[in-house]
Amino acid sequence: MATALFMVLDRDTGDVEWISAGHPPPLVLAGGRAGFLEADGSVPIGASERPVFRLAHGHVPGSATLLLYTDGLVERRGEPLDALLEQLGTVAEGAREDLDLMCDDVLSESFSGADPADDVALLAVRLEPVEAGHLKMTLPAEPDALVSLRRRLERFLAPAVSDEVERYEIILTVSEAACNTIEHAYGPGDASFDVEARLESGELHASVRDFGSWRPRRDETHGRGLKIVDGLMDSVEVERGEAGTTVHLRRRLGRGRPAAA
Amino acid sequence: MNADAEIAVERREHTLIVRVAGEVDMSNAVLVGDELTRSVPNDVHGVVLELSATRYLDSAAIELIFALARRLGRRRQTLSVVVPDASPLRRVLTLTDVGSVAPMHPSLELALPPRE
Repeated sequence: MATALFMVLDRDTGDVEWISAGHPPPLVLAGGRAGFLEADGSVPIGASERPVFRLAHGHVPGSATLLLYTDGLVERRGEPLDALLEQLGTVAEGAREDLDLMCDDVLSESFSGADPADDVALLAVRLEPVEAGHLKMTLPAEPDALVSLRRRLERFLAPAVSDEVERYEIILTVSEAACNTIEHAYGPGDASFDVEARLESGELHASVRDFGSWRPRRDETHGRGLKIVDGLMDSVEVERGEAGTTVHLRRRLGRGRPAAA
Repeated sequence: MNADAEIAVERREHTLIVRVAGEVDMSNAVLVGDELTRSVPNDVHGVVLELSATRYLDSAAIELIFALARRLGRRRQTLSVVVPDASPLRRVLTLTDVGSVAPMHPSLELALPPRE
């Protein structure tokens, strides 16, 4: 026999659908108050020959935290589940905001320093509302990060840039600016890079920032990357400092083609 | 997650048409490059690289085009590229001078040699 929870969260709306097989209810922490997403009449898998599992619906507001956990977190001999859930709610309300620290706090407060009797797994999810016209992300300095960067930029640009060619050119140049960092990443200082973008008064301002020491690249691929960035942006500025390098990109939107260099 | 690209080859008489669909970037450029190399037999006169279904190319991918042109050139095989006029890739391929190693055509019909 095992309990299970399967949940689908819509990142855009915060709507959730889930099926629970005897699993303790997910906790939602919103506005500093803890509540639970309950599902009726569910039994653990293997407990019944003809189980009925019902699809439940709910909602997680923006900036709220969703906490999923295994029953090891709320199992204490002789204590009713309701009391333990209430205790969990109180612990979650008092936990620190950062998700990693929140998990640490929930674990340590729930067992008061003692070891749990059973394995415990915790999953904390928070939907951060995206400010329209502003993007900020940190990515690992690896080639695989380029796909994530593109998808995020596509979502960011779609409402404001209707021309497919212009979207591609912007995404490409921001990615090319990231490629130098990715190519030379090694060591802890180079492990990640930041991308920030703003849409303001018909202009795109983007910056790609790494935290390592700048290394010159001489190969042809890099030369082409530079040609691309120079050719597709209205202005390119490279700011080099001890803490890393920032490439600032600017392009006037909606004219079809940026001004020739 | 790696970028996702698919290569499909079709032989027409002495020409090999290589269709690249999807996205090619630094994360999959080496794999795509290897596949391109493997796909070209010694006895074709030329290769047409069909990029109508290519949604994304970056400088690492463009380097593949140059490398392919060099390799084919050593075997006296030609390379040309098909990019529709409306494709977002057009301007980038022009900026990086792909035309200097492989003529660019807006359609496959224009890229293929006339039937004998």
